[in-house]
Amino acid sequence: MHPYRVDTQLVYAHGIAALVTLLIAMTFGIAISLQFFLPDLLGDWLPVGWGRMRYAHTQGIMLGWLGNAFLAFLYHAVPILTGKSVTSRQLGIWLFGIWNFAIMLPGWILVLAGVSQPLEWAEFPLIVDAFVVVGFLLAAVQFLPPFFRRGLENLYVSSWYIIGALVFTLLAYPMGNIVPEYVPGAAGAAFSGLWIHDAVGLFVTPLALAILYFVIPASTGRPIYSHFLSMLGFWGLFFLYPLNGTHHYIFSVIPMEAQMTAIAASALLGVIVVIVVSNLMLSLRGSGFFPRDPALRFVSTSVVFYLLVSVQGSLQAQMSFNQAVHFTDWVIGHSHLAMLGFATFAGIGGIVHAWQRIPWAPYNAKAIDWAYGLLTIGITIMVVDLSIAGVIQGQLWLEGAPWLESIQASRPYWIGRSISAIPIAAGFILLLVGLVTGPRGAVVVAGEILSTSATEVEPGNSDALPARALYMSYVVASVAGILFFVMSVSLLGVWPKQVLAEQTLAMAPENALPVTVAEKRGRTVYAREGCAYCHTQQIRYTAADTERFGAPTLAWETRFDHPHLLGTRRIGPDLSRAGATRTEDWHLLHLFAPRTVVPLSLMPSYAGLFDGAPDRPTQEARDLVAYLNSLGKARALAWPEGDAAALRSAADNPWAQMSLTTPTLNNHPARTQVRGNAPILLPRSDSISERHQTQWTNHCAGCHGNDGTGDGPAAEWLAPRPTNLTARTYSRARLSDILWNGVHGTAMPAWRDHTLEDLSAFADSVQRLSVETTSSGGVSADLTLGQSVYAEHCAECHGDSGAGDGFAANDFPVTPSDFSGERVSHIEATRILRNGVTGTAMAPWTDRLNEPQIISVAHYVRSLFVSEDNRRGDTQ
Amino acid sequence: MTAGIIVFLTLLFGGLFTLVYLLRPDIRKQVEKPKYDFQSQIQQYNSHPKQINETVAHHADE
Repeated sequence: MHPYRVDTQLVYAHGIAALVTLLIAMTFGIAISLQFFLPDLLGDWLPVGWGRMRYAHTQGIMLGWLGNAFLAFLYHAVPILTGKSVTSRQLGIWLFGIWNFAIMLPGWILVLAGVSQPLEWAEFPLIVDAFVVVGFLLAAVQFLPPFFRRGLENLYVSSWYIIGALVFTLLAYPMGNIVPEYVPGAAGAAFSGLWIHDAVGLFVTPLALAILYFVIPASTGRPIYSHFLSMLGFWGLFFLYPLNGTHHYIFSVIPMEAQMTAIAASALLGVIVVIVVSNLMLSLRGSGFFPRDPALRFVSTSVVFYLLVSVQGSLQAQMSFNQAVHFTDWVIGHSHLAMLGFATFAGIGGIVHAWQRIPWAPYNAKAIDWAYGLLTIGITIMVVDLSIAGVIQGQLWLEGAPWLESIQASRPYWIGRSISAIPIAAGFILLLVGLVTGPRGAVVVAGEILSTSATEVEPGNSDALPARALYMSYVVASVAGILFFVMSVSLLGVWPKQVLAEQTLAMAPENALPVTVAEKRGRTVYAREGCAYCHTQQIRYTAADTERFGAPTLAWETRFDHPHLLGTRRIGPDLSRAGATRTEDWHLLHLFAPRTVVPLSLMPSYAGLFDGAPDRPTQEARDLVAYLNSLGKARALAWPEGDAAALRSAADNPWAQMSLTTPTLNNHPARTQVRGNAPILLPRSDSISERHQTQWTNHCAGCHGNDGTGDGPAAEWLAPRPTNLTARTYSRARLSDILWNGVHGTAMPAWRDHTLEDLSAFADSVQRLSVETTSSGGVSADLTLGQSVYAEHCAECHGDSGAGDGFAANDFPVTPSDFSGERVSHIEATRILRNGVTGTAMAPWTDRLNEPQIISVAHYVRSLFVSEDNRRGDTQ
Repeated sequence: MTAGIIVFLTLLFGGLFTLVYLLRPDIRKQVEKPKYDFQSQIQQYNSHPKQINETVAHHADE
């Protein structure tokens, strides 16, 4: 009778649950990847919205797939490592039930139903988090006692990793999932960053490494190369991983000292990983590049992925590299390399290894061989594809190119990423097939072992003194490990919170704008739909961000954010200063049907927030727009006096000074500005190129229509309607002004992110659309009558000379037309006088003017146009 | 400053552990012992897989 038993039923149950949850989580992932180029694929039903499925995808991979895979492995490994059975089979059934039916199932249902928290790797709501903590507690009770019963002396490295993972995850999980709910803004983000890295570094990596250190010697029949190196790696990883967290928020408002700590720890971690990987590779020596045993093949590839992802991680934490790739698909490639490459291959290796040793389990070697090949190819394609996409995106952002150019440039790579899902999906399905079909107990364990040389199994040294010394040193290291964890939370969480609270107190305006109830509700919708996964709310302390978005975000600007919405990815632009950048009708239409106003947009439709049309928003849509319009408003209202006051308290803070001395608070290129100060866009000598025609279609046709008549798909929902460009002649100066500054109070944005050459081409396009002539179309009009009517009724808004600068002009949200810069066709002018312009102060005049007066004043305003020739004459 | 302390501490502890490992053969043997113990445990498991892998396992609480 053996002193312990391996509960193969629990290994099997968690193994199957792992693969089922993996297939579900992968389906969410594929669905969201397809929406990058087919954004309307799943319609507008909110429960299958992009953001909610993104939540379900990441939690499914981490807790569903990897959680179950690790538990399956632990049921196999812990009894072998300790020579003791796990605590209780009954407890195991409870753990299985809680993990899958109190965490995964309700977690997915709740996030799809809109109950979630907008925190990376912590998306399940708090009620589910409570069950996750219970799950980890049960796992600790199930797997730790065998180690204590065995005694902690001479523990093998896999045992250290298992103990470390169970203890530290229990400490880290509540900190990352609960604290940011109560600590607002950037301070909450500091804790969130800790958890993002702890989830990988204290839960996923240790258990994956436990598998590697277990499967390699078990499959090769040879001890690992060096237990010393493995312990050096273990302590290095456990000390340094928790200190990495803040590297997710480099160049943010989180104190630079904390950022530098994380950067240094990240670099050191790279060194430690090289030691770990060298040891693992030396342990694999003689097995070949593609070992015959599938479990060994999976773990040896996992080792390679581990090296790549860790070097990548250390590199991208460095400031110069981070500046270029942060927020891009490079990071998405990195996280897939970590979770789908390194951890998943280790997890599969662990499951396959255990499966091979279950006498009654079906095992289809051919299917598993195919699964390995397909997964390796698929993941390699995905990571290479996303890394290239990330570099391109980063470069375009650094160059200040229009945002949509990065979207266009990324499209082929997003398609490539979805194509890579084909071999990956096929691989996972085949893996499941491999573990549920085939002969039972087909694998002869001894036959899989490469060599079992008796000379390699050296007897242990029983010398008491070194054993005791080593035991004591490990005890000291264990205590130090806990202290290091506490230090990491203090250094990268508690201390930044204190500093940010002091900064907020010193720099926030005395009477800063509070958040309204509607804005609060809108924020909930924003968080629920996962908007933060595409739009950051942190302008970083970098030149590229400042030039594109404006003054970097200060701590006090995020003080009401429970939890923070800083974000770690930019598919769309940063929204820190979204308020006062777009009009309400634009926002509503953009939410309802994004591509009507931005034809190149890949934003999903949120028509589910409307009653069938953009002009029938539900309360939630109105709240969301209220929230978007509130972003950046508090600082805008405090600025510049508020910033000047804050500057006095930031004498010893160069980063805050950088934000407070940025010349423009909101640099959003689409934000409208008051007229003037626009560069003159000279006519181009060459014809309009195909590229510029495409740009017209991409940027202008949504509102103005393909032929410029102002009846694009967006037109009927905007007030005022887009201008009929065929019915107007613009001076070059006026066109330059409109394109550079936009038209305040309308949906016409500024286009300052385009090059002057492109803007000139836009201006050429507009001028060529015009069919308006100097002729009044044969209508006889009395110019003197028109002039007197104009003076009496029109000049107060449009100004004496028609320049749109009457004394009442500044009182209107939409500035009156400038007749000196644009000549409206006679028909259009009389139509406007009869009907007015919805959404502006221009009312219909038929109740006050008779028909001859209307015709005459229309004729008169046309005469106010100053042609290019006359302008040149004036200036000469 | 903190970054410097962390680098220093990491190098110090790593260096000390390495030095002791290199200079003390008895400690070296002790540090490496678990990998051989593990190999024995694996061999023991492999030689009796059917007795150990039971559908309904015996547990400490049973």
